[in-house]
Amino acid sequence: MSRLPTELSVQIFARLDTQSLINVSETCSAFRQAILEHQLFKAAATSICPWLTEPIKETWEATARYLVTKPQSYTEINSYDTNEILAAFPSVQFKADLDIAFEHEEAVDPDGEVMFETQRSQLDSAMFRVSPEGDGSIYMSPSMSSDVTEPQVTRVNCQTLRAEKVMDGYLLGDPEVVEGGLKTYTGQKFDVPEGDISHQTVVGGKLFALLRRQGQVFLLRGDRLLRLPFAGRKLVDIRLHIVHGHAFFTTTSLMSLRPQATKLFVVGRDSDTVHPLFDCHPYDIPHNFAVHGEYLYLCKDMKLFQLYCNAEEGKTYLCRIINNPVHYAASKTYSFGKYLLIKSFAGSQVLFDLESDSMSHIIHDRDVNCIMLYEDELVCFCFSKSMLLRLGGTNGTT
Amino acid sequence: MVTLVSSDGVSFNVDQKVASRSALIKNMMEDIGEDAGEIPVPNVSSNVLKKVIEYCTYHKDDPLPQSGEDEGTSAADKKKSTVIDDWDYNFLQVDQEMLFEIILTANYLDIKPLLDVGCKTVANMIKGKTPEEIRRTFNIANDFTPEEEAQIRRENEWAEDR
Repeated sequence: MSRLPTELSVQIFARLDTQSLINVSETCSAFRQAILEHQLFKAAATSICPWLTEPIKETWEATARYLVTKPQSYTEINSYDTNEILAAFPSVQFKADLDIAFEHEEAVDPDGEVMFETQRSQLDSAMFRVSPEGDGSIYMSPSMSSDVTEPQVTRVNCQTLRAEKVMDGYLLGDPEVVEGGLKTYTGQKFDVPEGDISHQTVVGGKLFALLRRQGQVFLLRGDRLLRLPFAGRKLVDIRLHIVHGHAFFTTTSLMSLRPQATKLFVVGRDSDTVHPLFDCHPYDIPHNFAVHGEYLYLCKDMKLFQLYCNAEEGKTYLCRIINNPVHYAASKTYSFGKYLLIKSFAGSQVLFDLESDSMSHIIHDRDVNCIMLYEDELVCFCFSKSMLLRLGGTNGTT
Repeated sequence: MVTLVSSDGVSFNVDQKVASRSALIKNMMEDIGEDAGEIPVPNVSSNVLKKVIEYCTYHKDDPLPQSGEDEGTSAADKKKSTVIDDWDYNFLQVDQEMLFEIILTANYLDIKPLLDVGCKTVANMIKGKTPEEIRRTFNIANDFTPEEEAQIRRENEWAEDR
């Protein structure tokens, strides 16, 4: 067979299923090269799933990997029709009456609870909190929206969600200002210095937040106040992520249209030094910034960068570069344990298993956001359809 | 009639309709005209040419593939087209050397249906075999270094049943 010209070998290989292709690719270098150069994995994947969207087809190798491990999940779907695909997914109806299009959602996790912050615009945001008591309720927080006349917690019917801890602390939503400070959902009161507070996060009973005063920005950690070398709110947009007690900042200049105007900084857990880590494309951060274990993951330039960050030293070390299965630049990522939900500008979304470096799921809905555990199963949240989509088990074999 | 002459000098008198299964020979006959006489087939030995003529004779009444038609253009078509009819299956129950010679000849003489069925036959021989079994079946030398092999195995780990 080795004496056949490559063009004929390729004609033979093109008739193979994905698993056979993989086996042939392991026999000798010439066959491996022929298979890779002629993108035969892509062809095989397409033959199994003709409905795969173009961006996914382009990631033929990742697709092939996926199809080898999960062929049975997709073979019955023959068209790229959202309703058909959704019908094929076992789904749980989320009963909250959410009829608006959300632009921004964050899944946050206060000690096993799941919360969603939704934001239609800067003037219209709301926080949803899933009942920690397990009574099947979801609560909507006071909202800044002008059309919410009674800013009080609203109870709607919903099945209880549970989540593993994925991030230190949680967002508090719009703080309720009380005498001497602010009060959280749970009724905890925190004394805060005078100023405009944002990005509140509670870690181990300690309040972390950004505090702004005229032309000044501070990091609040419990009772410690650290002035940050950033200009005021009109000049820079700052977001705060607390990870393992370290404070990561993303700053995006509002005065520059340069594509590299976003930067990532870190302040170590017990440090008062602000270390600049690296410049980022504005789209990379803060949305495309995830943490798993000791590592930071950054979606950038169609790749997934795994970085080790020594927050005390203020240095990052590039560990690995993983091909981003979405192929196109990611618009957002959501992390949940070892899973990373990567959304691309092109509309395709995948769930990436950080531990096995493999694509775990292809998700065919642009409006799917957030990933979490629901009754020990991995689910994602589809706001526009008000549905939870069940993705599979979480025992490492999804 | 047209006479095809193999690389080892053996002549085969073939009906023009049979010879026309080869797009290459058909074009030559059209260029040369009725007095085509002897057409040399320099790359094909007599035992292989005889076999190919046998195929063309059996299929002489089949509709010719349309010009530009690429059977199995789409991946789905290719996947679908792994079925081989009985006569073709039995016809290709030959040793590997002959099978590959037939494929090479079908490619050279531009006999698309024969090339297609030859490729299907080899593909079917590959399916379901491990890399080592494929190597043994086709006598393929493993030219990967141990390091490369380990690397490839790591890259393909996800595909293994676990």
